Amino acid sequence: MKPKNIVYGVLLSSLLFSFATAQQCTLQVIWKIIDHHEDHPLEFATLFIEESNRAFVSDSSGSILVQGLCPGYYHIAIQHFGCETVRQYIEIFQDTSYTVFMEHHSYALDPVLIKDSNAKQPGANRQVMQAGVLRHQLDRPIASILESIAGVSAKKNGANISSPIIQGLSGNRINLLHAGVLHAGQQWGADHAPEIDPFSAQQITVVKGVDAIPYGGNGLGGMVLMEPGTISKDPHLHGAAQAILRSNGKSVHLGFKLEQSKNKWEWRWVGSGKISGDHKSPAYYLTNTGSRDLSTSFLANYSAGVKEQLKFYYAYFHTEPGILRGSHIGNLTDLQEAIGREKPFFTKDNFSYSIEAPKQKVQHHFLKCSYQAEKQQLFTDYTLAFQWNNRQEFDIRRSGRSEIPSLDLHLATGHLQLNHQLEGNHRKISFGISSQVQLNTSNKGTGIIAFIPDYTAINPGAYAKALFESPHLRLDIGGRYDFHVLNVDYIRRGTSLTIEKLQRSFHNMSVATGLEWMLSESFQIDLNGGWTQRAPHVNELYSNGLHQSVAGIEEGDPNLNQEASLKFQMTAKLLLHQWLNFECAVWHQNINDFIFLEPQKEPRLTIRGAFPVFLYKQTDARLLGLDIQGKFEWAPHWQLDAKASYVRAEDRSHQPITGIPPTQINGTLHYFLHRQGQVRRWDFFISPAYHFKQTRYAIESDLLDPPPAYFIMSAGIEAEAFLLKKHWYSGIIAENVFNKRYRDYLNRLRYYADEEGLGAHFYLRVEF
Amino acid sequence: MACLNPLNMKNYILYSLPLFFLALTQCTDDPIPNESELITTVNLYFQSVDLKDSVKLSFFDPDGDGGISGTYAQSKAFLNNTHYNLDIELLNESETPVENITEEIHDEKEAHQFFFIPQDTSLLNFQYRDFDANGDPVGLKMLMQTKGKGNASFQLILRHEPDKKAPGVISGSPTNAGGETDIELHFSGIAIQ
Repeated sequence: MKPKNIVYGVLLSSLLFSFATAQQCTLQVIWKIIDHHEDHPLEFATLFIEESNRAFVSDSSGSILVQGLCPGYYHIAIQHFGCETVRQYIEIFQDTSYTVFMEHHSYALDPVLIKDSNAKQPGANRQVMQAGVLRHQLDRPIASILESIAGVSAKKNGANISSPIIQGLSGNRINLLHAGVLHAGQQWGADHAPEIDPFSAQQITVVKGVDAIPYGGNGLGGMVLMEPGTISKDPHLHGAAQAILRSNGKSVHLGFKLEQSKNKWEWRWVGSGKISGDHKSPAYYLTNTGSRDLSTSFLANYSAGVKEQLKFYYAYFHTEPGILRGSHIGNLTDLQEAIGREKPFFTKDNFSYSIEAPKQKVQHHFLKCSYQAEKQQLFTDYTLAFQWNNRQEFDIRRSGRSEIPSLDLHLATGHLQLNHQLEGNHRKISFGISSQVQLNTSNKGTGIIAFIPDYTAINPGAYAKALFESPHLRLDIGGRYDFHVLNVDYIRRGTSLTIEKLQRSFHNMSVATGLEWMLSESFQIDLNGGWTQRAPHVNELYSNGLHQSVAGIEEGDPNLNQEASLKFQMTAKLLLHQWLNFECAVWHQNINDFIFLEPQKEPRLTIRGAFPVFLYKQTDARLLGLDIQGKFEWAPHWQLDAKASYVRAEDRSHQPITGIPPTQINGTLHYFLHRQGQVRRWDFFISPAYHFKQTRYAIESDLLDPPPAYFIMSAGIEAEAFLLKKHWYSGIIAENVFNKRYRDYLNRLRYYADEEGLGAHFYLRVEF
Repeated sequence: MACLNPLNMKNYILYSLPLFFLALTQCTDDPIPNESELITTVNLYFQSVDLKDSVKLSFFDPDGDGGISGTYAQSKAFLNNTHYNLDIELLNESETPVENITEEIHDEKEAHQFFFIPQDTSLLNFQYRDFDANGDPVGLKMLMQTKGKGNASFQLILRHEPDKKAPGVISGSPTNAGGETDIELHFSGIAIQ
């Protein structure tokens, strides 16, 4: 039923049925609760009717019979062990039956295409995280949240700054899509993080194989899709309020959400903010590691016709993270003195919320308007998006200049995308064109020449993709062409500074194909492969100068070629009903002309002393790996989630590539309790994690040997309740429960300081 | 701001689609940024305590972190067994007019300290002549004593925000000082006659 009709329906029902309802409470409804993936009935699912405050449990056929209902509109909530709660708003005016698909395996679903759709789609090499699974960690950076997916790690610069690594690749080699549009931030540095707030996303999807055909961009494989999601068709105002408090860093995170569907309109507003102070390692405070974050987003959809929709989405993101004071160093000598100290330089004995230089200040505006229409079998989507990004880095400087950013970049991006999808019997054909324009300028008043030059980039592209389906097979195949033009104002140093106008252009081709083969109800094999080209980023071509965060001089090479990647992945999925869900992916990737930073033997002598010099070079790289993820439920209340990942990367001469995530094994053991009282659900869990030592590295391209292997554990209790006619979620979780001192290979601060010690965090969320 | 060449037809075709966006932007002449914090020149003015002899040591690197190496110079040989008063001058000669960095250091004495580390203490010896408000050494003014004939070497370091209370720092050792190095130079082959 359309929202408009629901509203009229409510009015009508209150008029016409106002006296009738009292006598006619004799309706009966049958709910059938089905596992989304296996079409098996789910036993022990709980159905809760808010209006009558009654709970029911499904039998072995997954059925729930509710009798004696009055005609009217009802809010219902359905739960099952380990599943995300399904909430619906329904009308009941006659005896009827409903089928509810529960997402029982929250990391293996695929609802994202250019078209918002809740239709059932088995996922090829995709891993989805629903907002509920993330609830207690929505105050953390997005990359830290994604770490719970096998094959995804986070490249960090302390607790506040992290960016995702997917199957060994990160930065510009992976695509970030925000509401279906390529996120245009400054993704080229080791201490840069995606400018997206996970709190505003309803769903985050990680694509590990090759599947970027409709999106373009420069990804060589991995993708992260952040979706604001759909708004439920419910004329009442609904929303959520949430608080997360952490003891380590004494952080407070507050988040709010409001949404409503009314007439032809539906809208959602989300806002969140966070303040945190100095984090603490087991032995000392990590001075100047606080942060200030603020973000908001607004989504509004207007249904112009039966199958026509206008969508408007705006998101704002602001972060101001402090950088560990003891990690800010001058030259090579300072670096050698700062490395391997018992306690970092400038460590203070007390906690503080203050943030001083070195710090960053990053803002991102994202604005998207789209028009979607469905005529017969043709689905059309026109999207127009703008993004403005400002990145400021503050260093310790003389004469009050610490208040002036050392780096101040403004990146403006415009994006136009026309997508079409033709649906036929067992096939879908999509095609489209897109165009992206970028302008990057630096503030000339910083007193320091910007590390990357000013540039304009233009990137038009076109793609076509086809999907064929049979009961047991799904085959998709697609191709894409992108043209990249880069116009650069390069500042050449000499006895005086001069500006040179330079231009490079690239033709990027990519093809990708995927096959999903369901051999039986419980066994599936996915094959995925693709060839992708990536144009070098402006920092790889033209960076020139001191990169403060790495205390090295980096020089681009304006003659670099594109990278060309050939990647294959095979995933075997075993789904044994309500008992075991196991997934194993093996992948192999060859990257020709892989761009990397080569350390030079001779340091450069400057007035500030010697600095190591790194030049961008190309080689051929080979990466291969294994991701395993499983969910095991051997007894009614127990559930074990486990994952492991392994990556091996080497260059043409079989030398290891530096910065590759070491092998990791993580698990979580849950004990669930479902009750029919006010507290409906308890979850007790412990999460051990073991990270191996990275033994494959080239010490000449690193400052220090990788840290030893470590084992850490977290544990917690979470509960869900229905009180005062509202849904409540709460939990308390302890992290690093043994207060272990350790360092992580993927954290840049490992050179200077230990990771965080014992900490507890508490959250409370109310949904209404 | 980098601009597209409006006369190039190819570019017209490329930005015909996102024209709406380019309309929002304007191209201006590209200013060449300045590097206000750069130190290009270090001048060390030595004058003997009896005012009879003066020597200048200098280092000059006009392109900062760029690839052209800096150059060292010595005006004349030092006299042996002589006490010299040393005054330091730091300049940014990439700016017009030339920027005097010495004043910036002078205004932030507590946050700076110079270190003079002779390779062979039997030839050279340094002592601080100036102190900040906390009574800790700064090093814009030094006393140098020549103690033997030959070619001497010393290292000159300027640290920003050092921990002056750390062991050995007030007596001229940078090892425990921390902070960021603003200057690190090696003066070698300093003639003493």
